[in-house]
Amino acid sequence: MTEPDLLSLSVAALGEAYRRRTLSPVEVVTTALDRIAATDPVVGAFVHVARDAALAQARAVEQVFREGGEPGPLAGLPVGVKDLVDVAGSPTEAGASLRTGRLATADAVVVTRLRAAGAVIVGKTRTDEFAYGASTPGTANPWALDRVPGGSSGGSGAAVAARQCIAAIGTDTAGSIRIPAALCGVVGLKPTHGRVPRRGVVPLAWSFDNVGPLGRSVADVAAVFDVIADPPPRAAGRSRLGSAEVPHLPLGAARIGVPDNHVFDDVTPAVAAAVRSALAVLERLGAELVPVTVPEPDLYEAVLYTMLLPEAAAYHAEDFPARAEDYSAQLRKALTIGSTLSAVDYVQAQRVRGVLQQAWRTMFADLDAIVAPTTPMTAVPRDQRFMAWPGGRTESVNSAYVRLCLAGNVTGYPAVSLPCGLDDEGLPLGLQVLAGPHQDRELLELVAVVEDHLAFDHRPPMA
Amino acid sequence: MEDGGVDDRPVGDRDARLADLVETYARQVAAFDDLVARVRAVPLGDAPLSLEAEGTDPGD
Repeated sequence: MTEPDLLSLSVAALGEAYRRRTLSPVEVVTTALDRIAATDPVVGAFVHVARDAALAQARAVEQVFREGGEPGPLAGLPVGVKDLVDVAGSPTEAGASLRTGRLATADAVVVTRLRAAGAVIVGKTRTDEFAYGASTPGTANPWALDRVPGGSSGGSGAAVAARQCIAAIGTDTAGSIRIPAALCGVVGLKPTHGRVPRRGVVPLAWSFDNVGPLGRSVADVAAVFDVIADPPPRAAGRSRLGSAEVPHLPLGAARIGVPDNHVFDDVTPAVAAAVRSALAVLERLGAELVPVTVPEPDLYEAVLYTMLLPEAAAYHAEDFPARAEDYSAQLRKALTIGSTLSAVDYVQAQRVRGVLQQAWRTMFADLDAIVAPTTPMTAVPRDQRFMAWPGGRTESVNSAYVRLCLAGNVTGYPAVSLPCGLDDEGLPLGLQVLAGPHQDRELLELVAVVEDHLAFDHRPPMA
Repeated sequence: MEDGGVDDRPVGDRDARLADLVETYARQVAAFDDLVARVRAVPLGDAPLSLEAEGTDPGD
């Protein structure tokens, strides 16, 4: 089996191979570390590789297997962790020169849970500075090395796509898990806000920050989510589709919302065609497509930034403006604007957020999911700053990438991106599926069926 | 050049670059002002006063 083939195994297949002794955790983790060493000079997905610690952890997992024990559901799984998340003994630099060399002395909760499940942390993946961005400078897209991987969890998306690890952890404040998932042709879940603990994770804006998994299949993402997430609150209830124990649900009973506004405005023809094609698959499977209207589409960006920038400014108050020279010009502008906003505006934005959440909750009372593109376009060249849309509107690349993800962050409701095809340049397209609060597991089960039928089995040229 | 970096280009270039930065900054501030104005324009008569109290927090 070649290096990329071995690292293309699913979480379940890997676990089965370990239990049947046809593969060993040390062999697989060594393969992942060797592949990172061989490919990362080109991909740039990792900022820190924990070779010795990873091999020690793999040997410990192997020992448990050898003694007939059960090391956990993610035993021997090579995982990359975004460099915003503390891994004891490794630096957490958050893509910021301000934090160069800052060692974490304890694991973030999410890392503690991964380790307890037997996962092996192979290293820290690259992020935009303090997660403020959508392009991850320094990381290449494995599908086309001159293109952006998306961001801010671009290192995690690229690492999974390049077969440097089998799953990765990202964070998502305005699309930062879903955007790199879409652009790198992998699956990414932004869980319900608060479902995955954020202790030990450098915040961007805590009202919107989420920690979540990226992987090459819905099943892999679900396996990691099950380990890192808190159980849903009892009051959350069940989805219309029923039991979380059923792995792949029939879609005959599913009601899928299809927005008749906003989500197909200013998207490339390839994106629109791929999402329409996925909707046709859903309909063929028996799902009922229900037209819905996205409430107040002009307000998501307004609410998000009116809260995000002051929260970011508050988090950085000790260092900014005192150490302004240690921040990029882009972040300096954001923090300056955030520092000048009034408390009244911040609170009013919270109230508007509540109105929007209620409107989406009402929509989901009669729906299982809502479908949209993840991003309006595929991966752009690294030096492209603006998109010129056919109607004459010009939009910054970053604003375009986050535009269709913001509703998931403003509502706090779960959203997943999964690959739904390639454009005529061979670049991956992402399908976004959103669900009601705490329907994370049910959402994954629904998209697992969609994934089966979309049958996206392409690999980037380097893998 | 990032703000605060050393720029050894001719003064005319730097002036033009500075003017461009100022204009970009002003445009971004204006864009942000527009976003805040959208929030201010929402009639909030019966809107929740507290996310938790009104049960709109997804973490409920």
